[in-house]
Amino acid sequence: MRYFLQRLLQFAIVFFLVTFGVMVFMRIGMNKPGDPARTMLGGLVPDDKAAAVNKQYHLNDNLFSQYFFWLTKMFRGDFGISVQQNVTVANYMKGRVLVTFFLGFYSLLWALIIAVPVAVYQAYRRDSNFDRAGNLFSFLFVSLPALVLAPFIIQLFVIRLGWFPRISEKVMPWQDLGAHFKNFFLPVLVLTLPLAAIFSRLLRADIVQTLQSDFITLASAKGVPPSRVLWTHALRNSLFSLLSSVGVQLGAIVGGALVVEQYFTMKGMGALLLTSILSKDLFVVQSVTAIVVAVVSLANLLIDLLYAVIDPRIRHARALT
Amino acid sequence: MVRNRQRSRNRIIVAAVLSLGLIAASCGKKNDSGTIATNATIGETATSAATTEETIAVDTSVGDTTPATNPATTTPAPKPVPGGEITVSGEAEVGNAWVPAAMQCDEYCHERARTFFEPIAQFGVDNKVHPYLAESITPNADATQWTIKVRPGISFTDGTPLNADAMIENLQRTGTYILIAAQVADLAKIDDPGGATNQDGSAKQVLKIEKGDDMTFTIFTGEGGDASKPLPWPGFDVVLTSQFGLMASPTWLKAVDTDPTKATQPVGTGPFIVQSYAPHDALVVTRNPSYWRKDKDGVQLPYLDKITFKVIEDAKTAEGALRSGDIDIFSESSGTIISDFEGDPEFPTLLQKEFGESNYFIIDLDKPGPYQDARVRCALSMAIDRQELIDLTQGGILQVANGLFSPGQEGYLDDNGFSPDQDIEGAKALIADYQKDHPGQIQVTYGHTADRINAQRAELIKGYWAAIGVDTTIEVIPQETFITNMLLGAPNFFIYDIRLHSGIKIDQNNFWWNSRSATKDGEGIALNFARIRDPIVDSNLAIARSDPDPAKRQAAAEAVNRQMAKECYQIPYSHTLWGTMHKTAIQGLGEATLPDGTVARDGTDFGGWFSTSSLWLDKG
Amino acid sequence: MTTAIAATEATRDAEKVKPARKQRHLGWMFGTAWLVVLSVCALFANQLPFIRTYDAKIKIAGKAKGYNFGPGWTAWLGTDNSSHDVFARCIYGARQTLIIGIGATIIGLTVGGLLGVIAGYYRGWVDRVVSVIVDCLLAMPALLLALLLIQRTDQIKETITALGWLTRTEEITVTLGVLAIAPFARIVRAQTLGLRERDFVLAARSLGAKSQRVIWREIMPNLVPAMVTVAVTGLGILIAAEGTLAFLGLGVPRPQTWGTMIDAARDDLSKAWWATMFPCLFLFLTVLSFNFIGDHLARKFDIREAAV
Repeated sequence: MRYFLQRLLQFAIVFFLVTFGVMVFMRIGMNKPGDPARTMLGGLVPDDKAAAVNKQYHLNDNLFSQYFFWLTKMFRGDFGISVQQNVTVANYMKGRVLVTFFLGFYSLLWALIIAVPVAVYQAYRRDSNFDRAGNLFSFLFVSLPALVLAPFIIQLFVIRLGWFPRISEKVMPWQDLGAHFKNFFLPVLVLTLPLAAIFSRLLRADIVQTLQSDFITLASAKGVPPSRVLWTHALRNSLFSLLSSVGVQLGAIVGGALVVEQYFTMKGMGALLLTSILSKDLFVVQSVTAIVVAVVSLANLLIDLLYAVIDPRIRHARALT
Repeated sequence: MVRNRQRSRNRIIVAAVLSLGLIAASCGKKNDSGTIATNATIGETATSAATTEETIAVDTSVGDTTPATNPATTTPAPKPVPGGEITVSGEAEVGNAWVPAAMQCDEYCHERARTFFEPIAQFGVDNKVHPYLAESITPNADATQWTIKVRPGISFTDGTPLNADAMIENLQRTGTYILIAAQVADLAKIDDPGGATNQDGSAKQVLKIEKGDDMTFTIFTGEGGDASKPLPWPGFDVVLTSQFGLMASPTWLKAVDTDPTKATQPVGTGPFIVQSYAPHDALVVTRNPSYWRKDKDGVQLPYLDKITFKVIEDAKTAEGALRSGDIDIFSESSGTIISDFEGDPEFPTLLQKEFGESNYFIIDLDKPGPYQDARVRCALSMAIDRQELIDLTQGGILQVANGLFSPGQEGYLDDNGFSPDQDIEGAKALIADYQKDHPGQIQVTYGHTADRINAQRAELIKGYWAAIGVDTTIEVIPQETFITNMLLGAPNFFIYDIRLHSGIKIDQNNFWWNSRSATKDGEGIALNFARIRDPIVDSNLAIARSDPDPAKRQAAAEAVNRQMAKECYQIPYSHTLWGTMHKTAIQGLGEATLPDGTVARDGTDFGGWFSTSSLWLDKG
Repeated sequence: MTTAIAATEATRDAEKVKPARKQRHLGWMFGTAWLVVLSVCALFANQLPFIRTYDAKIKIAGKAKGYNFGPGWTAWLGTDNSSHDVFARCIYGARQTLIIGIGATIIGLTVGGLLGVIAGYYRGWVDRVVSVIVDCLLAMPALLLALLLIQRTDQIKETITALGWLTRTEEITVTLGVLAIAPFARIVRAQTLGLRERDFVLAARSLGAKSQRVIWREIMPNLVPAMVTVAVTGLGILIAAEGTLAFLGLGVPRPQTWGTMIDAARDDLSKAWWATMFPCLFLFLTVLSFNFIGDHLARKFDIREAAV
């Protein structure tokens, strides 16, 4: 319980600091101190309109009360408005959240589906040709940024083979399952490959180490079949590092989604973030960042807690550092 | 406080400028790169390493590509079939959509806005202004008063009738909003008869418009807004074809005043009705069943049931999307993309070769030193290999420019006195001459935005100028400050790479070159970015605006062209070409008619847009 | 980013028993060789006779056309969209890319390392403050943070003219440096925590040595292996990150980095594969080399605990 509260407090501190930091940061260098309304409106407003927006969103107050104003609204579910586009941030995000969710979900899923068996088998047959090939491939994909990977994938699958559309529509599974997968396949592929490489390397190393520890040796000596030792004992033991790695990668997936959405012209949260940061759409940047930070941190928190519940040793180990 | 106010005002105009037709050559992530890889056999003559330029002789010379309209689009089409839906793509989203007064409207914005809004007047292919929502547009004898009669029997799609009140409401809102105000600066302003005031308590200025009866009203001109000085303005009706003339439902406009999010559900009189709008994503419009127009055979317009407008920022991606069938049609000004589709029978291209913007390097004439000397400016201009620039950065198909007047525009001249051919020796001579008076190395600064094609162009320019002994510093200017820098004459605005000046009449470009709008560097904003203060240009611009004789206006426009070429105020290099690439199934492109039967001219005001009311799908 | 580093270090494997040395050696030897050759070429690009100048154009009959040469004798790796020699540009690109990568690593290592050492050594509230800073930096997805930093710096430069000297290259270097702070701080802190309890440190402290002295004399030298390892692996990641920024339109225009080169040519793959492929290859081989070397160092110095 104490651990839970401690972690929750930690999350709260980070969340408030980051969101406040982003807000302050977005205000620095505005063309006129305390007049972000005009910037937010794209510069194109008569004085009275700018004044009205400033007043409506308390943009001329000091930073703390501005933050408080934004935060209370946020907790009440009002994410503000994109003054540039005349839509509420909630409406702006509607239809985009799911795109990024599916991108992240599929790529995580596939990365794990690929990485776990490969890593386990690699560890089991250490230094075999399979292990070496696996190592080499994971090295290759870790070293390939999307910038390099995506053009070649597009060239091959879209332009040469014509199997997939050039721009990926956001078709949802309940609309048309076939089209859904057709549209999501390539973006997910670009996200999955490096992710799978990272996971498999991590997992392999972990299992190799576990396999050398005493309790595994003991289990083997007791006559537990090797496959059982591998899949239940060793893998379960290595699960924590894998899980926490998944947690850390969530942030990277958001970044990856941003890039991939650009390549395939998918209109997801990443694309929204990019647009709003470049066009200085304050409330959109603030609210979307807050949501991203909250989701990523909460997921990490959840992973930690989950594991702490399963394995009490973690609680103590973590509490020490 | 005063300073702050000044500065914030400056920001306002920035966006205004966008709407008035400025597109920095940098806008968007354009994809303009060289295309033609040759299979020529190569006999090497010189391959010494580490030289600045190497020449390798070829046996077979490289053939030039010549642009041509694809015949497929010009063959007479069979009778239109109603029904069907299409997907269109474009590069940029509209800022502040969709209130006509406030939206920062570029080509793709006009493309979409004109599916649900219609203008008071529109250009026909005869390059004359034809009434559209107006039944007639009549000037008085000296063209200081313009009487507009509203076309009867039209209502907005929300049921609000289109009458004089509706039009006046629209014109007042758009004409006094900072955005379009500069364009109609010569319309008379008066204190608001309703007694409205500004924040500081002064009376609000409104356009002087007098209502005749329910369906007629009169607009008054006044020099610089001064109602006591009526200004003959024979070409005023041109303004009614632009954003200023777009008509929105007054009921909806009032609703937007109280709830800004209503702005995403615009209401006009147009052939389509907005169904949904997600910014930076998609706009979906559906057929207006009670649209007021029928085609010449009496078939109800429009033909299409539904159009989806997507935003695809990258032109090359749009090209791929058209080829893979994700979209049906798109317009593009990138020479590379247009040349990719050249002669492709599967995807015909409709070209807009005339009235487009010119690509050029603008020079701040207020900057001290070499920039103020015509010899240096001309030398810089002569040193450029325009054809190579076009070959390498614009797909090789654009036309070399000798000035800022593109083909078809009033004032365009094949020979305006400046030869666009590269002349290194001549340029060197001018530089040597300048250096006699001002000894020492000539150093210039060239700015562009962080776009891959602009970066490529900058490198080429640096090379040309190095060849005549001028040292160039290249600066990358952030996109969002690019226009502000020019407006304010910022300390780092010396030479910028921009694209500007579309239109048919020179009058549309008046404020860009008029010394009235050439505020000194750092003293405020200037729409005349180059700070041209030339009596010859000024007097001819005045003639072009006010002289009743079209021949004299034409002569004045040509005089402006010649004078600017003589002084090398700018360094032009090419004229923009717009291409509309589409699937063969799409018919009726460029065949839209005006209410009086004339065929409409697409792409005026902004190059590239096309009418959607005449489009139909050939399902055969 | 952290995990990429973690992953590399995780491969340390604790396997002194049965190593497949051959392959590993091949990896890191290849990596070192590639980096040495590349660095030499990049350093002496102006002097080496077989490298054209950055602006040299290869024309056909006096005319420059985009992509006029494929890979061959005239231009080893073909020409780009302005008829420049792709090989020469890759070499000059190496210079620029490495400068940015190394610059960013130095920033990250200095700031992050310092924070990590202080946190790990003093513990208590100092540690807590540093941890919060690090957590905050890590809570933001790295790319998001980079975008915000660059966009805001651009605007701040507009308002505060005193910062006008800051070039895009420096902006990107600093931004990438900031991204590297948190992971570096974490790893260094973990290392310091371990070192702090070691005999020689305890001995120095019990002899009454000042904290500063202990940190500089006893702890810092022992941190070097870990720092070098992390720096090498991090360098590879930062180079890849620079490429990603170039794709998002925030690249370095001149001299071009590999990222900018790839971004400029990637759409013309079917016309001129070489203009994209070779910068990709340079980028890939370099990142791979850093990974190989980092992996090797991690195994050699046995730094695994640093990862978690």
